[in-house]
Amino acid sequence: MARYITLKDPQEHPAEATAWIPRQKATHKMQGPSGQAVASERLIKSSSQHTTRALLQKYGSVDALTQALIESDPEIDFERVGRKTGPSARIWVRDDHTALYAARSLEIIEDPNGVEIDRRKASPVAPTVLRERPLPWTGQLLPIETVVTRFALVKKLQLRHSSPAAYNVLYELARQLHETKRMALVGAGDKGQEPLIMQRGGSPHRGFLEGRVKDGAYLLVLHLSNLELRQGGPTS
Amino acid sequence: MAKGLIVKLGEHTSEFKISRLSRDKIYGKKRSVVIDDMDQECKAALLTADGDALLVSGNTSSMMIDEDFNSINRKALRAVDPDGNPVDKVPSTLGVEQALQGPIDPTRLLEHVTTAVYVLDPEEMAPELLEALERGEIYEVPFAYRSGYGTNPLFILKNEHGCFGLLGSPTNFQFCAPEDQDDGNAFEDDLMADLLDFAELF
Repeated sequence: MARYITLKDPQEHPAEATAWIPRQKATHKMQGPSGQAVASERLIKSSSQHTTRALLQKYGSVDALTQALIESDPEIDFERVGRKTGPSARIWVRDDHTALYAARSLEIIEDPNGVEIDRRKASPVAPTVLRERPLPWTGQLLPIETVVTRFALVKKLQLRHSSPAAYNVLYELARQLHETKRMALVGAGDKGQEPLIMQRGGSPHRGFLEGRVKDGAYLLVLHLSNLELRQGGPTS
Repeated sequence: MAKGLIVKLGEHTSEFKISRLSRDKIYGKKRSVVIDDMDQECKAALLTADGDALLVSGNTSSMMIDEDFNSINRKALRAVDPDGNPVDKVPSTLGVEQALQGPIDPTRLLEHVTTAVYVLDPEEMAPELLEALERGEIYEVPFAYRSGYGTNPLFILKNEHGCFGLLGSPTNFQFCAPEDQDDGNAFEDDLMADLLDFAELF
């Protein structure tokens, strides 16, 4: 299943589009010295029963552990060392490595100097980009030069039509943006003033829509930014 | 002293100190911690699928292995292109003079995803380059922070807050014709969710 984004054009026509992410083509791959294929694997080195802390607990004192290390190899988990981890479940453990069956999350907020300014119960934000809730046309058009010199465009989604009617709307949008050499500010909410949040707990982004047309085809890209090109603390 | 970015426009050389710009430095950051019933911070661990091993930080290691499960020293690895031809290692471009290309059209920057932002602190700035950047012109230079198997374009620009270098990675988006209607099955949800996990940025 694809991720769908619905957006409106200046005439309030909604168009449902699928969102594509950029595909990176591998420029090279690694081989072994004889040209053999190699792969990165995560292997077990030890396990929680064989850490220094666990061994100290088992032997009761540093001296007893030292003696055990001289006489045998208690730090090595012979049954498991060298095994591939394979599919594993992520769990939370306490300091003594006992598993947590009911975890609670806290959010810690730090200022740009790393000083903690708030600590609160984590509450994942709800997504603002939903298939059934079209993103409104904000009418705010910005010159391309302004956008690229003020924001780092850190994520991109190509929007593609999912129906002939959507093609008409998306092509026309791309044509207008192409001809005016501008990018449209895209936001969520009734007036497009809310940030774009793609999934529950996701980060908020500003959106900028770029359009190009060529020989009846179009390229419509939603550029996302969560970083302004400036230094120092936040503005008001 | 750390090596800087050295660029040449025409006959004039400019040199910048570079430092990575991140959201944390501008906005601060939010981090999540998991606590137990005694309000003590807990750590993430892995439990193998068979439930046999509990793996905490430091219990695993990544290794390169071949089909016969032989461990291959990373220094013995060699890079090849998709056709199997050897690829030479490219040294870091820092401290080495690079010719600026441009001014480029701003739409070229839109054809790349910004993967890193550097603040460029001029140590020696040619007046010609300063004037060009202040006119809003954007330049491009091949960039590799450390040695590797290729370079990426670094887009150099200036605004009222200073000079910045935006490291780009090409998007390779293709134009969409009427017959390219999307059937909606291009991606699996999980893959999309991973790639759209914006919380992982920076």
